[in-house]
Amino acid sequence: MSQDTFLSVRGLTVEYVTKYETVQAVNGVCLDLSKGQTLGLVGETGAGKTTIARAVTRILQSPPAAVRGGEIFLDGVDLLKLPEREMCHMRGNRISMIFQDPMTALNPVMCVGNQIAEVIRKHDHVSAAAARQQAEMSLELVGIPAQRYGEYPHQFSGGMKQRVVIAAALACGPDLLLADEPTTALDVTIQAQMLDMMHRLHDLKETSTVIITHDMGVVAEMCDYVAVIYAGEIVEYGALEDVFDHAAHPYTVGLFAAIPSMWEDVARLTPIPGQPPDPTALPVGCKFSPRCAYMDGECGARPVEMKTVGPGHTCRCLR
Amino acid sequence: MIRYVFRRLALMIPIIIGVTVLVFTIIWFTPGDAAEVLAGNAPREQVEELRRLMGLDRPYIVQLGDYLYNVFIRHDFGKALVNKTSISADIVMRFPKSLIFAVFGILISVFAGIPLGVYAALHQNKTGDSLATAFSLLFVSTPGFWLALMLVLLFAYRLGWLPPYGMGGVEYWIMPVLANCFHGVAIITRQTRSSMLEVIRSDFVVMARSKGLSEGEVIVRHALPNALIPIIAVAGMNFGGMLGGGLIIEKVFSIPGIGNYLVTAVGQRDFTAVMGGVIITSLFFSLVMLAADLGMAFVDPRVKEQYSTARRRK
Amino acid sequence: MTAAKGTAAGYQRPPGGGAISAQARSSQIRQVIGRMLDSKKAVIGVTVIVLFAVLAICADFVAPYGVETMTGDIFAPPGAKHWFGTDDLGRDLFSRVICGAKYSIVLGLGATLIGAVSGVAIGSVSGYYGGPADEFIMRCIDVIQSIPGVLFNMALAVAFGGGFFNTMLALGVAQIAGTARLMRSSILNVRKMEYIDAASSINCGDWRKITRHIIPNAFSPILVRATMSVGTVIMSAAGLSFLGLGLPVDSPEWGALLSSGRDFIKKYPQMMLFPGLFLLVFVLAVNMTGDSLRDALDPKLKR
Repeated sequence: MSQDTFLSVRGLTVEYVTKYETVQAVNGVCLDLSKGQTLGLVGETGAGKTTIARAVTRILQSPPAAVRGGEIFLDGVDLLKLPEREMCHMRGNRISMIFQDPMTALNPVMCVGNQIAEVIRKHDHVSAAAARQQAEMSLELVGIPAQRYGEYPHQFSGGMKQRVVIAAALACGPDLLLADEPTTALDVTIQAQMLDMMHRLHDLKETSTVIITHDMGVVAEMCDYVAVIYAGEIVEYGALEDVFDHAAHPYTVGLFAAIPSMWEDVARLTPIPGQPPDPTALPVGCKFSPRCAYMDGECGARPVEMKTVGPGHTCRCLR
Repeated sequence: MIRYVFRRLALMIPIIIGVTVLVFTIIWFTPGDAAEVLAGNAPREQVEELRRLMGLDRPYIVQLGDYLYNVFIRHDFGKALVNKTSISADIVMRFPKSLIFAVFGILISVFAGIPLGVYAALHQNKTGDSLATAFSLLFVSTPGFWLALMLVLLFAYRLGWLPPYGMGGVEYWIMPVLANCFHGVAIITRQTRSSMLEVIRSDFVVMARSKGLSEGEVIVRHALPNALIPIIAVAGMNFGGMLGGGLIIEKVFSIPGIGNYLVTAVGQRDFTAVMGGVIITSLFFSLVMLAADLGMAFVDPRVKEQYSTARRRK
Repeated sequence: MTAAKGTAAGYQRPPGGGAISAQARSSQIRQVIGRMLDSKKAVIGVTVIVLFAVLAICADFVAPYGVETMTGDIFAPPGAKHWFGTDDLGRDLFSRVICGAKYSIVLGLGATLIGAVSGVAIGSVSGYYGGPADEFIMRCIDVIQSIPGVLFNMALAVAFGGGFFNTMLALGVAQIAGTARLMRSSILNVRKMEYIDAASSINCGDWRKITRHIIPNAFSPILVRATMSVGTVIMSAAGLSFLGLGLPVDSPEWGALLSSGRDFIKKYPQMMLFPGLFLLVFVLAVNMTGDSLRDALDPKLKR
C-alpha cells in the first residue's frame, strides 16, 4: 500500500443470505487504487464484481446482501463506518457509478435532463436554473444536444441512454468512478465510441476509475492495473503489462487462451474446462483447483495466500 | 392530448348506445313486467289492457327503437312506469348522493391505501408488512354489506354512537363511507405493495440511490411515480365499483342514492327506471375510466406517446 | 423415464418467459406445488377450503338438526344445545350454515367454471385469429365492461330469474367478458415471444402451437383469476340473495341466511354473525390460495 493510495479495500466479505442458502459472493477482497489511475476488475459473470462495486457505494440490497467484514477507505475515511447521511453526501458527489444496462438504469417517467440535474441540485446546492444549465452542459459533454433535455428515456437509443447515465455519473465531478460493465450492453461500434469518450473524460477530470468488465479488450484499452476475480476472490493483481504479458495464475492464462486471436490461426478456442464453483459451497482451498490443470494435493487443502510474483504483481497460486 | 380526450369522448357514444341495447335486451328476457306489478291480483284481461296502455306489448325492435330515439335524440329517459315520476328528475336528485359517497370512498382508499402499501413494500416480510398484508387480505375478503351491518350492530345498537340508518348530518355518513371504503383501501394497499415491490428492485432505483438521494427522495421521486400506473388503473376500476357497487350498502343504510333507486326499480319490475339508472351509472363509470387513463398518461410519458402516435396513425 | 427427465430438467430454471417443453411441464407443476407448500398462506388456505368442502359434503351427517327442522326453540342464543343459536322459526343455525356451505361452494365453483371455460374459448379465438371477429368481440367486451360489475350481475340475475341454477348461470355469464379479455391479452403476449417463432420455424402446426405452446404459457393468469373468482362469485351471490334477487330467502345459502337475519340484527345478532363469518373465512381462504398460487406461478416476484 503506497502513500498516495486513494481507494483501499481491505478484506471485503459480502454474503447473500436467503431462507434457503447463503451465497458467498465476495470473500476477503483487497484492492488499492491511486489517484487518477484506472483499475480493471475482470472475471466471469457471477464472480462478485458488481457486488464489490455496490459494496463500495453501499447500495447493496439488504437483505439479502450482508457485508460480513472488511474496510473500505476512501481518502482515509472508512466508508463502511460512515453514517448513512454522510454516505448520501458521498454518493453521486465523490463516488459515482455507471450502471451495466442503460435500458433499465434510467427512470422511465422522468425526463433525462432532470435525472442529471437532480444530482447537481443534491450536492452542489444550486438553484434549479443553475442545475439545469449545468445538466445541459453535461449532456453536451457526452455528445447529446442540450435541446433534448426534456425528452424521456424511451425516446433515446441504448448508446444515447448510456451517455446520459455517464453524464449523470460525472455531473458532480466525482473522485472515484465505478463503471459496472459500461459497454457490455452496447453494440461494438458504440462500445468504441463510449470507451473513447470515457478516455477523454478521464483525462479531463483526473478521476480514479474502477472498470468492471469481462472484456479483456476493454481492459487493455482503458486500464493501468488489472485485478482478476474468481469466485469472489482476487486471484491475480498487477500492472496491465505484467498481467497481460506474464499471466501467473492458471485462471488468467485460461482467460487469455479463450479469447479469439487475430494473429494465430487456431482451429478451436481453448475454453476453461468445468463450471465456476457453486457459491453456496465453495472449495476450502484454491477455488479454482477443481478446474485447474496443475492441481495437486496441496491446492485443495487450505486457503491459498496471495504471493508476489514480480514487482507489484501478486498471484493466488501455490505454483 | 386534447384531441385524444375528444376522440375518447366521441368513442364513448357508441359504447353507451351499446350499453343501452345490451341492458334493454337483458331486460327484455326478464320474466314479469311493471303491468303485472301495478295490476296486482287483477284478472288477465286487465293486465293485458294495462300492458297495451304502457306500450309493453309492442315488438322488441319497436320498443328498442323508441327507447333509443327518446334517450339519444330527445334526451329524455321517460317516466317511471310505476311511480309516474320523471326519471331524469329522479336521477338528478339521487345521483349526487351516490357520487359523494363514492368520491369520499375513493379518496379515503387512495390516501390510506397508497401510504400503507408503500410502507408494507419497504418493510417487506417484517411485522408491519405482515400486518398490512394480513389486514388487506382480510378486508378484500369481507363482503361490504356484512361489514356494514356489523358496524351498525356495534356502533349503532351496542354503543349507540352513530345512527343506524337514514340521512342527515355527518354522523349519518360515517358508517356507510367506512363500510364502502374498507374494500377499496385493501385493494389499493395490495396493488401498491406489489407494484412497489416490483419497482424498488429495478436498476433505476438503485441508480437513484447511487446518486446520493435520501431514501425518501428515492421513493417519492423515482419509485412511487413508476409504481403509480397500475395503482391508477385499479383506483379507477374501484371508483366505478363504488359508484355502482355501493348499492347494497345504500340499501343497508337507506341512503336515497342511485343504487337504492335501482334496487327498488328492479323489485317493481320498473324497467324504464332501471334503464335510466344503469345508463347514467355506466356513463359516469366510462368518464372515470377515461380520467384514469388520462391520469396514467400524465404520470407516464410512454403512455402519453402511445396516444399521440395512435392518433397519428388513424 | 419421463419422470426422471422431468426432475433433471427441474433444476434448470426455465429462462425468463421461456418456452416449456412437454417433459419439463410435469416438473414445472411439481415446482409450483413445491413453492406453494413452502408458503404458510397456501397451506392454511387450502386446508380451510378442504375443511369446508368436507363439511359441505358431509353436512347431512354432521349437522345436529335438519336444515328445515323447527326445534320449537325460537331465537335460542348460541350455546351447548344450539352452537350458533336458532332463527325466527326455531331452526338450528349451525346446521343451516353448514348446509349453506354446499350451496355457496357449488355455486362459486359452477359459476367460475362457466365463466372460465366460455371466457377462455372466446378470448383464445379473439387473440389467436384477430381480424374482424376479434374486433367485434372486443367491442362487445368494451360495452359489457363499461357497466359497473355489480349492476351487470344484478341485471343478469333478474333476467335469468332467481334460484340456485339461474343465479349460478347469471354470475357465470357475468364472468365471461373479463376472462375473455385477460385470455386474449395473455395470448397476444405469448404470441410475441420468440419461442412461438421458433416453433413456427420447425414447422409446428397451428393446433400444436396453440395446445402445446400458447395455452400452457398463457394460462397462469387465467388460473389465478379463476381461483380468486370463486371467492368473488360467492360474495356476489350472497349480495344478490341479500337483496332478494338470488336464492330464495328460506334457502340456507349464506347470503339468504344473512337476508333473513337482517330484520333481527338488533336483538338476535347471531343470525347475522355466523353466516357472515363463514362467508368471510371461506372467501379469505380462497383468496389466500389464489395469492400464493400467483406468487408460485411467478418466480420473478418470489425473489
